[in-house]
Amino acid sequence: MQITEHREGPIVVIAVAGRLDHAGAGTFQDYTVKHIQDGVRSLVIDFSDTVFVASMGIRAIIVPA
Amino acid sequence: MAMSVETTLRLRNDFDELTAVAEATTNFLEENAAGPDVVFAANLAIEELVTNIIKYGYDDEAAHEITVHLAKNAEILHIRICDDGHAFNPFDQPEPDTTLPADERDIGGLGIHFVRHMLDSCAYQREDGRNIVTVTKKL
Repeated sequence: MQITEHREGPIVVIAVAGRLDHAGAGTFQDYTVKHIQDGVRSLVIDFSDTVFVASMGIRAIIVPA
Repeated sequence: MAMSVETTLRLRNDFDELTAVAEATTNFLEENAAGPDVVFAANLAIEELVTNIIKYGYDDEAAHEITVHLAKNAEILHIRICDDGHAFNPFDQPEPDTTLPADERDIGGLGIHFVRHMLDSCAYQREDGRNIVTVTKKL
């Protein structure tokens, strides 16, 4: 899994490439939670290049939300 | 007669080994002409079922071996996962209530729910102190 990000004004866009599986879920969740703690209020997650999402990945998406 | 191919993957009860198993599964299936839906279903079943085994299957801290056996012919893919953890039938658990809003749901149960719905059959047996889970996907 590879995570890249860029800003569009107040919006942070996080792109997830590869597998959002057990191995990647924790890293992904830490990433989004850090932005939320830093005060970011608009997060867009770009799954265009995500090839696989496991239930742990779905949890990592829902929990910070 | 349809050609049939098979392989056995072995891993320790360590999450770090799942990535290699996913790669080996994908390579084996793609080399044997499985479509992307079959590759996805197989990866999902193995990820969810093996994650459950590593998380909840053992009563000690020791290293254990889990085997993943893949067998494919022109019609069907069989996946058999064996472990020596305590007896546990993953398909004998209650279905999660997917009608509840996300923040009111219990944690857990979603992985097995996906496996039940993405695969064509799911079976469990306990034999010689081992859990044997078999799932199939029609090609």
